[in-house]
Order: sequence, then C-alpha cells, then structure tokens
Amino acid sequence: MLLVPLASNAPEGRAVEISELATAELVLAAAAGSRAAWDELVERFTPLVFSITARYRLSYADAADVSQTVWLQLVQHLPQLREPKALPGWIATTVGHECVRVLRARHRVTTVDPQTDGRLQEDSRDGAWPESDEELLRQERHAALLAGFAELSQRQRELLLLLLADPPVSYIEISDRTGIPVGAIGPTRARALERLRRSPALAALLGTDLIES
Amino acid sequence: MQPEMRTDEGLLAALKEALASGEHPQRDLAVANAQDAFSFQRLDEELAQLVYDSLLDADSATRRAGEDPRVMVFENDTISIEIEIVGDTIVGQVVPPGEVMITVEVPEQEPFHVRADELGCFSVTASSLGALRRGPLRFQIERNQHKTFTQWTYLPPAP
Repeated sequence: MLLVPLASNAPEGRAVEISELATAELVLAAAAGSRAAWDELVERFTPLVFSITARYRLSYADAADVSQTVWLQLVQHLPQLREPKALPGWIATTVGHECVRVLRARHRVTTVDPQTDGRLQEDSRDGAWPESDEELLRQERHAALLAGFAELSQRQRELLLLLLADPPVSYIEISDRTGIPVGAIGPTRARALERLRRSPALAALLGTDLIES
Repeated sequence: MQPEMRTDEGLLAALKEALASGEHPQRDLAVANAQDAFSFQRLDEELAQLVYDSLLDADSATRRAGEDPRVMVFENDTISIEIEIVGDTIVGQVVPPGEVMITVEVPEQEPFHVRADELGCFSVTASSLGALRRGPLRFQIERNQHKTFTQWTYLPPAP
C-alpha cells in the first residue's frame, strides 16, 4: 500500500492512500517530489497517451518514443502546471504535437517520386488523414472516457477492468482478486460508472450530447 | 451520434472500446520507463522552453522541401539556444555567447559534452552522436556553474 503525507489539504500527519487521490492532488504531490504520486499518474494516463498515438497511426515503436518524450516533458513541466485539473488536456495536446513532429520528420527524410507515389497527396496533410465526423467523435469519446477512467480509484479501475475482461471473469473470481464481496460487486460497479459519468471530461461530452438531442 | 452512455451497460461497452484504443504491446515497459523519468526532476533547474520548431511550423510544412533542416529554438529570460539539424549534424548557437559547456542528455546513456566557441556555436556529428539519433534528448547549457536545461525533444530516426 502506497501512502503519501499530503502537504496541502490533508489534516496534519494523516497519510492518504495514493490510489485514492484525484488527479489534481497527484499532480501537486508529484510536483512536491513524490515518486509514488508520479508512478500513479503514469499508470492512470498511459492509456490516454497511447489512444492518441494510435489516432495518428504511429507505429508502436514511435508511440513508445513519443510517450517517453511526453512524460519527460511533464516531469519538467509539473511545477508550472498552474491548473492541476488541466492535466488530461495538457497530455492530449502535447502528445498530439509530438505525433505531428514524428510524422513530419518522417516525410522530410523519405524520398518519394511524386509522379508515381500516391503517398504525396496524403503526406502533404502532415498526418491529418481525412477523418469522418464519426471517427472524430469516436476519438473524442475515447479521450473523454480514458480521462474519466483515470479519475477513478484504483479499486474501481481494477473492478471495471475485471468486468470487461475477455474471456469473462466470474464474480467469485473477481471477489477473490479484489476483496469485494460478491454481493457488493453490482453496487460498486454502479458507483464506479456513476463517478466515471460525472468526471469532468465525460460530463462535458454527455452535456453536449444533451443539447444536441 | 454517441452511443448510449447513460445506461451502465452502454457506458461499459464504450469504456471497453476506449481502453482497447489505448493499448500498446509494450505497455508495461513504457510505463516503467515513464515512471523512471521522474528521476530527471530537478526542482531547482532553470528551464528553456521550446519556442520554435520547424516541424510544427505551418509555413515550412506547406513548402515541403525534403532537405530542409530541422530548426528548434529554446528560450527563457536569460538564454536562447538555437539548434539546427542538417543531415547527421547538430549545429547549435547559444545567445549570449561566452564560456559555455553544452551537454546532450539522453536517458540511459552517457551524456555527450561539447564546448561552445567564443560566438556560442557548437556542433555534434553523427559519429559522436551514435544512439542519440533515437529517442528523447535535451540540452544542458552550463555557464559559470549555472545550468539551464532545454525542454525534452525527440529526434525521429532516419528510416
């Protein structure tokens, strides 16, 4: 169990379990030097990073390099991140920039014959493939869901991952692995999903939806 | 049209798809590397932000000149460092000039040191760079025992 004494708003001397902290609190703790808080941030936001590199069709090797560059930038940037809640947005923007860099650098060093190579037309858009509205909405939804998922406690994330496992995991096994009594899995699941729905990123998305319909 | 995410089943299905979009075959390795990146935190360090990168410059992108060098400029209130990558050579200039030691830093590798001349210019070639061509790197500028670090950047390898 990872514990960190919180300098900011926790009562003096009280230790809080890292995995229960909100993103904004993790950012503050990591900026103050907590490696455990940093590890938790990386764990929570890695799916968001790779979801965006996949959007730019980066190879797995390039995606891994972009990920590392972005995390190194974040280590430096933590003290300047004035609005810790804005981390998901910062990550999305920074990953996007790094992806564009990789794609443009590739185009520079690849020699193509414009007469015969159809890639030129595509390349000249610098990685911005023509996306259908549907695809853009899907990407936006993925980013919001992953940012929201990162706001759940470790216990809630673990439960949802087990519930989504393929092949399915039985409630008895889920109970064994998480320590949640079988009878409490349903209510815990409902609470986790409600928290996900109320996370800022997803609430914004669902709110837009409401206005449209 | 968004899928129905107000029902628990719908939300779970949407979440499953989102999580699948963020998978990576070497996820655990990437997470471990990113967690180790924390050791590069230096709270007292002076940071020079990337203020220009030709790869993100819309004008140069539309020109699409295959042999254009990549140019990056890092800056803070006291120092500016311009980096130009031409073929296998990194050429740089620090402003204001003076007795400056440049260190090219790459995670997991021995740092590479080069001294700037009286105009603040320095260059590093492929033979000395070696593996620097891949992965994140940053420049450290040391003057009178005062260190400035640039933001981390990434040099995509030649295909």
